Amino acid sequence: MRRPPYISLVLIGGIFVLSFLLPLFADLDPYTLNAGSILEAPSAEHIIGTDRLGRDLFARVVYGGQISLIIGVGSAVIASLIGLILGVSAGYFGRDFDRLFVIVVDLFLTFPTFFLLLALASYMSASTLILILVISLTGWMGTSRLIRAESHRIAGQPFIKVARLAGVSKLKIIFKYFMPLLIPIFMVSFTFGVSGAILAESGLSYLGLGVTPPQMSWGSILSEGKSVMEIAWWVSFFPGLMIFLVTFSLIQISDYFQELSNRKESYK
Amino acid sequence: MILTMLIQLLRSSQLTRSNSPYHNLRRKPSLFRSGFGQSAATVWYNLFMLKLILLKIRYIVVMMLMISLISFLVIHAAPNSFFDASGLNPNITPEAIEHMKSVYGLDKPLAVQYWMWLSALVQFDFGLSFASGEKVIDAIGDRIGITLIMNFAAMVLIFILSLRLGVASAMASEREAGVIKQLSLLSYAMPSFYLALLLVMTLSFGLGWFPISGLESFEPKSGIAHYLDVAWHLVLPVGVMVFVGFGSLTLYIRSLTIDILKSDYIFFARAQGVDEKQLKQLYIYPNLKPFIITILGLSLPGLLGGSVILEQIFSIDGMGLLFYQSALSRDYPVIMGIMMIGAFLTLFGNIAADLILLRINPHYKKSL
Repeated sequence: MRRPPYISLVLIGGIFVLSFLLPLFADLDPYTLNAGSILEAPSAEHIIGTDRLGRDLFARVVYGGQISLIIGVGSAVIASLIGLILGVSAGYFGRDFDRLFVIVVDLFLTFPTFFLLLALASYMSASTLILILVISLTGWMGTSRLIRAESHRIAGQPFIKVARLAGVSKLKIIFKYFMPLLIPIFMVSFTFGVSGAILAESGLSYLGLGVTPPQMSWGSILSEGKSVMEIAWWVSFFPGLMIFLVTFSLIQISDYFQELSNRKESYK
Repeated sequence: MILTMLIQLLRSSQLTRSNSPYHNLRRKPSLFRSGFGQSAATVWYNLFMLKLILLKIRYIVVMMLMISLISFLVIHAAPNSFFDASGLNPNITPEAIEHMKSVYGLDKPLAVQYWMWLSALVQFDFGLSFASGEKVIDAIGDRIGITLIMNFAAMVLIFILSLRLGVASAMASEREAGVIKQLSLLSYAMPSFYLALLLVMTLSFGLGWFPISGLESFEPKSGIAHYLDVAWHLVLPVGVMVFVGFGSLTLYIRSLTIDILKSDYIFFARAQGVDEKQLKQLYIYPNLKPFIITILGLSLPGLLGGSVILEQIFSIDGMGLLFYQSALSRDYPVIMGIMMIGAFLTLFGNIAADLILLRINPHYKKSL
């Protein structure tokens, strides 16, 4: 039995605590400009340096983390829910609904995703909510396909047929017998979705289409740093490192869930 | 032309070559086999293919219509059109803007605009760009080359690397497989722009090995030196693309290979004493072929997109950058043009993959 990915779990937990709890206790100021300390290298006073307006980079990375994580988790929740509902319905009801589902998913997959994302994000002034909606709108297809395939498999199992014959109501079948079996695969695609959404958000922010100043996310801080990367590597390095650590840990966790669900299958 | 490109790519990645002694016993299915002396079954089969192709064409047309309608509505429903933004310029009179709008037909109802755009599209006329006034098709034509070269190079490298690594990791010891898996996960999680920035910071600024951005050096070169120069400029962007892209494919090929290794014919071949190298050539690569073709079809639209961020970082004037700039300035004709080409490539890739698979293995018909 493989051990759960403790390091990744601790890392993710730590980053969440850092972003959401630390500001409550510590006195962090991500906004005040300070002309006396522009682009200072990491030191005791500014742990990871300052940006080109003299703002403390550590405070900015902490506050930026809030936005990045909210957008990542928010989009993944919405996308997974859409995927779950549509996928289960298509897998369970089959027939016409299934056919319609395939066409709609095909249609969404045919749009070049990043182009669509870019087009949508570029003409809506990006607030956190809009970004969440846009990213989830372009990211639900993968989950729903996985869930649909899995539901098809479950719907063909004998115990579901027996339950149907016994006259158990549809909702009860779905919630009592489908959902528990879908949990592993749902968790795989959810953790995967969070990291995908964080990558998408930081990509958009990198292109200047993410959250608008004075708000900040890891992507937008990194993007501000690229014009000064010759003289101040730390401005881009640390927010990028945070993005990477979060996505890498999430993928490790996702991989663990994947192995769990595979193992269950092989017991049958 | 793209079809032949696909086939050549397949040939180049050693998929169809085999050193097996049974090589000549199997008749190789040729893609363009036709001619006289066909049996009734062949005639029937060709009719079936014709019907299939017609169905697929109908599918493309319907999908393209739906996609064009949706993206047209979405894009035109957006606030702040191109000309509203130019209204901020005090040197442009409202009359001039009205005139411009009538030139582009923007004063007509949306339905009429859509019809005009669609009927022009049928003749491969994507309209004129608002920003530059040049034909959209020319604007795209100017930039498509470099994007295709970059993405094509990256795609070939990704496929070769993933095939090798994926198959190797499925057959390797647990320890080696673990290393390859972690590498793939690393590639999956690494944001392309972060990797690009790190590489530029260390290799370009720090060590001066590679140029920082652009496609050509400052002093112009000619002949072979010019191509070498461009290639040298493309090392970092293509390298980043390959590193970011190989992970998912490697994991996929690994899981496919593990399934193949469980089959009876592998067991039998091993019992006969076929060595690992022949096992790969004779049994593993050929059985991976259908999946590879499907993925190749799916990654066809990636030849165009997928490099917006990298083109922006390395300031390479390709399709990605064009789309980015047009999206920012709401240059509808260009946005729509690129979206349509991208969508068409997606559909075409799917269908080409389906048809090639059918040629290779007629049993595939059942799953169509």
